[in-house]
Amino acid sequence: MMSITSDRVAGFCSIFFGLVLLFWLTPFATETVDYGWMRPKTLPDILAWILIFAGSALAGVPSEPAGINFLLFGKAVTYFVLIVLGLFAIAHFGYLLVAPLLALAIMLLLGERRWFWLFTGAVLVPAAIWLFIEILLSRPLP
Amino acid sequence: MVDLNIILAGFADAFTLHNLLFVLAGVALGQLVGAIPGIGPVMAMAIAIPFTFIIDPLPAIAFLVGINKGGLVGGAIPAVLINTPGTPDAAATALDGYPLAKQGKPQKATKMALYASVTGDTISDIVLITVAAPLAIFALKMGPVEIFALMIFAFSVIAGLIGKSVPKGIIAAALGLLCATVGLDPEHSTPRFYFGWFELYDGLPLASVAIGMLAISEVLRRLASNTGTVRPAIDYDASQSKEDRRISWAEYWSCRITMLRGAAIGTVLGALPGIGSTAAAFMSYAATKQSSKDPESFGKGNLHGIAAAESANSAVMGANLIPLLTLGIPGSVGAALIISAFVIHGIQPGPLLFEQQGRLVYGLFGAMVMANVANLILGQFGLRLWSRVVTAPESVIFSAAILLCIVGVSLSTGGLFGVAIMLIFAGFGFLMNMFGFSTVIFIIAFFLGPRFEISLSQTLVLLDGNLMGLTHYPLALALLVLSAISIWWLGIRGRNQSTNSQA
Amino acid sequence: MLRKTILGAIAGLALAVAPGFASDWTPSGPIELQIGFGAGGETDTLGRVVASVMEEQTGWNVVPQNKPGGGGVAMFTGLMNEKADGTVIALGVNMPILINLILRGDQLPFKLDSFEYLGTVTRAQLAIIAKADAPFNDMSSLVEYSKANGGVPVAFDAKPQELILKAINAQTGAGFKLISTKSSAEMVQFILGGQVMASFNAGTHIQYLEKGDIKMLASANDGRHSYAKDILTLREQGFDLYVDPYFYFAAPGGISKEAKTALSNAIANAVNADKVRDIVENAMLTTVQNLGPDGTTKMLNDGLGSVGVLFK
Repeated sequence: MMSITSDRVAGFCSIFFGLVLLFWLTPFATETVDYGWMRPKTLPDILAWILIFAGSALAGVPSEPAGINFLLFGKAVTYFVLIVLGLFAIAHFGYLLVAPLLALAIMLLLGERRWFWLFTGAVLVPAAIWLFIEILLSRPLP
Repeated sequence: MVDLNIILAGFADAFTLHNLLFVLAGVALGQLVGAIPGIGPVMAMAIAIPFTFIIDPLPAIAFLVGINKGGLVGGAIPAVLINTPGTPDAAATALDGYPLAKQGKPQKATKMALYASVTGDTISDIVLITVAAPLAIFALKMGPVEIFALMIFAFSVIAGLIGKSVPKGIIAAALGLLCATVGLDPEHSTPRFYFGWFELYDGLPLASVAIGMLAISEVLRRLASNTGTVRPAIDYDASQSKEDRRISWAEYWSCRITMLRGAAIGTVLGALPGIGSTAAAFMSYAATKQSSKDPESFGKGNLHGIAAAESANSAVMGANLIPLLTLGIPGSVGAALIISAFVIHGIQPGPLLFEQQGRLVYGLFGAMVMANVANLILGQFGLRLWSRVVTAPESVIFSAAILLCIVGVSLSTGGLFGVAIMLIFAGFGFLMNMFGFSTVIFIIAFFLGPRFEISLSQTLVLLDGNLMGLTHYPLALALLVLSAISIWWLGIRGRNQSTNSQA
Repeated sequence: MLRKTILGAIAGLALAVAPGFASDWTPSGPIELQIGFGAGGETDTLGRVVASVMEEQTGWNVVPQNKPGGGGVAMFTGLMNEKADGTVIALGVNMPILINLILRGDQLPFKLDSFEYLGTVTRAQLAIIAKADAPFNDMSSLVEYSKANGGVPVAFDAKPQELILKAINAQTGAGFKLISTKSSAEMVQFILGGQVMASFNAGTHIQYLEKGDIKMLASANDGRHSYAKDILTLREQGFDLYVDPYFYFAAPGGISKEAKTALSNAIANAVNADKVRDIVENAMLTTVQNLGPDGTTKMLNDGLGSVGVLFK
């Protein structure tokens, strides 16, 4: 009986990635060398085969019929996207401007509404980090 | 050989108020930055080195050693309290430390980590001070073939952490090894998997991968599982009984075998350049779990788990100085930074160091002893402080952790590129966790990967590609036999456990 | 702070007098000194010392920053996008850059003339070594020994060294087995442990020479070494092969003349300072050597030819 379980999905992903690695990624992203016992592609090729075999074992005999928690996944993606956007903003506008806003956004999203803690997280903490890195250690912040 | 007068003079040099202050400052700084995810003791030492120009060699080196040792203790704190290791070698500490903290005993968990750390460190320091020279000669016998066999052995022991599903463990390990192949290949120095990003020439930055996989992915999971109520990061009951806040002598003493084994593993791996404290911590943890009568209790807040990990990763530090002081060979980046401090003060570590600078070396040993005591005392205060800090709401703790990881990783990798890599691995780590793959196995394979590939390559060249040639290397053969026994033992244990649980 | 300002003023005065003509260029902010390697190596130590001496002498704020990746390739790639106003300078080593330009220049976003060169700090001395009791004393007897024993293992830790060994194999049929390693320290370890019969080395070996555990077979530079004047170079032993690894400073292309002059003077003064001399002499057992802006440019352009020969 083939039911869709998270293990089966993961197994097929592993097989697929192993095949991509073997036939496309490794030939594309390694150089060819004509001497030596360990060529640049030797280890990646071995690992690709391991991924294919272990993936087959996983897809063939799923150890437990576990599902995927889509709510949890969706929330995590939200936070992840927020942090990625924060990183882009830091790259463009600098730490000093973005860090308090990023911290504030994360805290609000988490449901924090108390002024004291919002102030601590969005002002005091970024300021303390700035003080520690820029002033005490005299390293440039991003 | 060095005579007693020099030894005594060296120790006398060390035990001055002046040096004590530098050691204390170093330990305090180390504990602080070790506890901050992403910065870590190596970064702190690199920053501190220019400041040591202006002071004498002994306090300068004492200061750096203090940072390094303090960092070992500091790294365990966020690992235990919020399951986000500040340094990768503390990841093993989190396995049992965090569950114990979650049960409302954060002080008990961090104290066990502190005591085990100082114990492991002290044992390896004693080994360093007394038998460094013979150990260094032993380390010289460990050529590429033996190191390769040792790596196999390490993998076979750590396989004990693979968890319920063997294919999943193997996939996680293969992916870790694959990520380790990014960058120049060890035999021909041709670039692999860099896709036009020259920052990847030296491989994926260790800090980015470790912090992303272990810390940020955990923060993501915690953020996502929040249900809208505002909670403190750790439930901490101030009225709890004294037993739940401290480690009794009986509890400490019951871990003596565990800590001795951890210290032994850490010392041996530390004396061999390039293997590192992360592997030592996990090897010790796995070995302790294997030999325990109750392996099921690991991962649920077992004090032995904390003791095993911390005693081993701290023991590596002292042992790293064995090849450094006797041969001039650094065993880790931390040790390499201590070399630069020596060099800046006009001292070249190497075979002549004990003869030419015996007094300084014994002064350094004195400073190490002081640093261990300082770790223990400052740690008491530090742990109390940090356990309080994490009673702040999750919202503050996690947003602060994210900012710190971004800043720390950008500092230690030299820019935002490293932070981007960190986020990629955070997402990947989250997915792995969600599908039940072990990020820990991934990280160990990733850390051991480069050394594994180069020693395999060196071995094949030396043996002309003929593995039968191994018969000329008795030590390597013995290690391979031990690996086979270890796997066999795992198989037996695994089968017994499954029959027990069915009954 | 006050002390630094006074020191800076004095150094500024000295600067104005010493190099012949005054320059009133000052950086618009802190100068970032990028180091093309990770923390804890030779280049890192060197860069940090030069930064602190420059800061002392000029009063400018000089912040060292590690930019590891491909032996400096990542740093120079990033340097292409930095402001050419003198607030970013870079410390690199010529060999990995030259090799990458020769082997995969089409993939690199920069050429040698993408940057302005400010000077050099020193040239690393690269030796070929063996255990003191090995049954050979120079390259030709090593080759003979290797032939007689079906090929002996020899260690290297960088591409040019591998190429030299391959060239000797091709020239003499020595049949060396090439063992790739990560550092000079690892090579010394393998020599002492008897796992390889000979290896390259860039400094870790010198104390062992003194102690008598290791002997030197040849200098792999285009000149003998300051600490071992009687050991012949590879060229003198009949192999027309050498490498000269220089540590050099660069700035983004398009930097103004005033800034370039001020920076190269500041570097020249720092390199001449006792502290930098001490580090170079103690740590790398070689001497400081500043080729100056033009000399550095010439060294790199010539290097493209002389390193290119190794790949033929």
